[in-house]
Amino acid sequence: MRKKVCIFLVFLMVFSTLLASCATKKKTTEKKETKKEKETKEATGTPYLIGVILSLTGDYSSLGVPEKNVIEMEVDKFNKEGGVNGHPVEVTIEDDGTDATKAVTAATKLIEQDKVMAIVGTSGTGQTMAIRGEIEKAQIPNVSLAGGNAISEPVNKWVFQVPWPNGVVVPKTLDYLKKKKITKIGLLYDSGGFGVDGQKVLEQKVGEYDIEIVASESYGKDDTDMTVQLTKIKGEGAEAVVVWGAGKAPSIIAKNMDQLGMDIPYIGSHGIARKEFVDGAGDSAEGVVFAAGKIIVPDAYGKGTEAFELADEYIQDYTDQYGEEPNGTFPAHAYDGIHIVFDALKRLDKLPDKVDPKELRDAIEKTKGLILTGGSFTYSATDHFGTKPTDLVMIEVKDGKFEEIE
Amino acid sequence: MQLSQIIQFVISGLTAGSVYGFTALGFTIIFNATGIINFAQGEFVMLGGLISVYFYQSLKFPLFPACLAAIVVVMIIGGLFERLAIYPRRNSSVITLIIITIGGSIFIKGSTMRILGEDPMALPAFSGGKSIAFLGAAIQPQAIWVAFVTLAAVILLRIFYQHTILGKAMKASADNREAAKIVGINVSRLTLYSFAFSAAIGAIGGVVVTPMIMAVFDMGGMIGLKGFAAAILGGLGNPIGSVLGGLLLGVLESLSVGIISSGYKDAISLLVLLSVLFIRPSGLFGLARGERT
Amino acid sequence: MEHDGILRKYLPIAILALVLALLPLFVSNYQAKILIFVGINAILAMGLCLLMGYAGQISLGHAAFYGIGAYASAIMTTKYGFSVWLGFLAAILLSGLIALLIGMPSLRLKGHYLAMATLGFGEIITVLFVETDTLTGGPEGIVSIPPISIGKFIFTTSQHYYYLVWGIAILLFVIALNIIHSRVGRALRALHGSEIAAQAMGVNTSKYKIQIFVLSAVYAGIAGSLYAHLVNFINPTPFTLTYSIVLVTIVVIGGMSSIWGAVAGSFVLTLLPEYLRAFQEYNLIIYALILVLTMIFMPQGLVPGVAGLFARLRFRQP
Repeated sequence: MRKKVCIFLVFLMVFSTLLASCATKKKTTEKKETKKEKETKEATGTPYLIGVILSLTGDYSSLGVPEKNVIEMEVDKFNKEGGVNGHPVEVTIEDDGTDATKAVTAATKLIEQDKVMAIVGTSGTGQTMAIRGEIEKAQIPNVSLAGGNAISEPVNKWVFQVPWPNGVVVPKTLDYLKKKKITKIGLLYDSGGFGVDGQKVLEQKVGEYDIEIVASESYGKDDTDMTVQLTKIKGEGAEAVVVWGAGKAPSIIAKNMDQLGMDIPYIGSHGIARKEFVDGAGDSAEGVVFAAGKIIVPDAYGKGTEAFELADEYIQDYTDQYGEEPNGTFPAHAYDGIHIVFDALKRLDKLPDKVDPKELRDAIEKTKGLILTGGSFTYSATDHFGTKPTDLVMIEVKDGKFEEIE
Repeated sequence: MQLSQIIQFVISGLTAGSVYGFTALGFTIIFNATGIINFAQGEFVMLGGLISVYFYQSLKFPLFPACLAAIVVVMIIGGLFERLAIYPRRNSSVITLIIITIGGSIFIKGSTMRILGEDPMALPAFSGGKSIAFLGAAIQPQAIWVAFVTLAAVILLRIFYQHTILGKAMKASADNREAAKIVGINVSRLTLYSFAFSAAIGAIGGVVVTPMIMAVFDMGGMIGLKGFAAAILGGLGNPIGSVLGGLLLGVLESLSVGIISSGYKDAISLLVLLSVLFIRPSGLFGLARGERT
Repeated sequence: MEHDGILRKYLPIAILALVLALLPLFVSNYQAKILIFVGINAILAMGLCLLMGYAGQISLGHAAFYGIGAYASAIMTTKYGFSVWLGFLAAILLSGLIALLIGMPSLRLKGHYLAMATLGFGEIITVLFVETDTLTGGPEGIVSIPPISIGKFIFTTSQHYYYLVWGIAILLFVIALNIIHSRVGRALRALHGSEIAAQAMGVNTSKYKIQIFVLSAVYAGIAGSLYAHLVNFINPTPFTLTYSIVLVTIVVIGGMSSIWGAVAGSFVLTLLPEYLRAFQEYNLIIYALILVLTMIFMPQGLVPGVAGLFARLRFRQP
């Protein structure tokens, strides 16, 4: 009796899988129809389908949710302005839950079910690496919004990167340290991917700038107190503390340093280019220096330049639509990512109803001098990073605000 | 390694350990009354922190009323959780109830993220941020607040369990639910009180440490885990054991970071904990007690 | 008579196997891919179910064995260039061995203390995955893990993998069933009922507990190996405490008391997040709600719960 029930249950589950997929298919077709009606005034061709994978839940949700806002906002605007030769762009956004497995199923769904021609995302390096297999099998381009060095080094034909990887940020930072005549640094890095990657690049490159790492300590991203590590760093005679991580720990580190009476400079990573670093560290944030994109201090673009106008418009649009300024660099990466796709589409020789993803990939790789919030993007067959250290600036916290310094 | 460095390590360890100790207290209270492990305990700490920031920053309450209000709100949430999710299945097996608390913790975490946002938030320190020098090491004044509140909590709990009817009733119902019912103890009412109480304790812990460590929607997981470990180390069911377990765990971690390496700190402190467990299977101060049947 | 018994015993599984075999013809690649993950989770859950439901123990560190299997396979095939099958063997041996080492001291503990011990060891192994980065690639993990191949045939498509994973899953299911219905199974159930009584009857409870613990770890190791070759990339994240908790949830939601429960739980808890994609940012909240409601309405799990529903319906008919 029980066994019959079990079989029945299994059948039920299996059929409900089929039913669910029909349900989701219906939803997307309904969506298409209403969107088409709206766009009869603006773009009316067959929509170009772009997939987006973001971390809407899970550890990276503070990145994913604003990224989603930006992408939706920009896609709307793009379509209202006529799209690409009359073809609107339609995005399908999926959540990866900051989980590699879910990223893979999201990618499979977007590729197999929604038949997208490219995928923008994901918000995290682990997830980007996880979907690589699907990307290569499907032969569609992936514009990643994650910062890990491994994403573009070595270059993968199909994967392009938007955020400045540590390989670009570290040299800028070391250059600053050298200018300040600092020769001994203590390194405090997050034991997760971002921090470890930063540590590796730092260790590789310090020699070129005549700097020595006298102490190297790690911490866990959820740790609540780093005074022990700082005490050790203090004991080794460091002239500055370089902190490589994101989240709330860097703020705690700033407070810990004050607590221990350490008045040597705190040099952070671009991971702290967010409002809550200053909010959390309070007075301890004063004087903290880090390298990041000009989007954090828009005046750095130079008033009146194309880049400035673009960044200003992006910030203004976001504030108008969502009621608060975009926070940090990640929403801007999403802006750049989707615009790289827009730009590539515009450069295609032919614009058929169905674009060949291979041609789209080729067009993305030919991106040259595209001015976006992150800098001037140029890709090539050997460079899928896109940005350079000159796209970054050194920023200091003064009176609780971010200011460019030289 | 200088002495002042070691003293700093110990002080830092005690500071971190007090967070664990508070969480462990919460686990102990619910365990004492119901025999279950509340996987949502870490979330109560998180809620205490985040909600107090919300009251303080968004609703512009003054600091102490914001904290008190947050504690009350979390206590109500704890009670609601018990009534809605635990009470309907109060006679089910322990594992069923544990899964319910797991679901509850995911629900609370997810809802908090949607309502209060994903970013970390801080409270100002209760009495300023200038650290106090002590034997060559530095203590944050907030850490002294934490120590003070922890001590107060432990003393009050001890009085509660040993000298009040309600406290004794809670212990009785954990030992033997059926017998407790027979002597007229309203066991389900007790479960409600224990959840509300434990939520309040968790919230107090959250409020008092937020100025030091900032509150964020996903902090509950790690805090819950360490709190659980602390409770086990100290002996599940013993409030003093819980706090001592927390402090010990904190110091162990600090010393591991200081003397060995930060990357392995969790591994080292867990190894020590496990060694203790293998020698004393009921924890350092635990009393051997039967499983809830 | 004999034939009758065997037929009855294996009929349900045979039907399950048949349904699963025909399914890929009706579903898309995307659905097939999800079903592969269902299969991997089913393997994990079956092992854990043997441990929790039958032997009455608990493991809050099972994802660590999953990880050991995955890393063993990944390291053997990428760093040392061994064949996939040697990697598979390594996964099985290593997860079993480590389970033995952990199980011997831990299984003397009971209840929440055992939970803590397994949790603790799971965490320690996670730390090792992250810290021994020359071997494991650290938090950035291992890339370009080769797909599985037998001779010249390479498993590349979702359909290939589907049959491989479910084939192995069914095999392991049959093995589990055999254990349950054997002397070992009866000893386990005696142990679960009352360890003291079982010991009084002469059952060597420690031996059986450890054996099942090792077996459940081996199941997890196999699942890990399959995962590594499926996604071609691993890092420590899927193998942490969070996933150990998901596994326990799968077993309990499905119904601890029956190995079918493990399969049912895997289906439901792997498919559910996919259905919930439509809810975007709210998917996690709804997922949690469903978990809690399931436990409230079917505290024994889905399989016993639904079976009970059917039984009551039957009684209602005149």
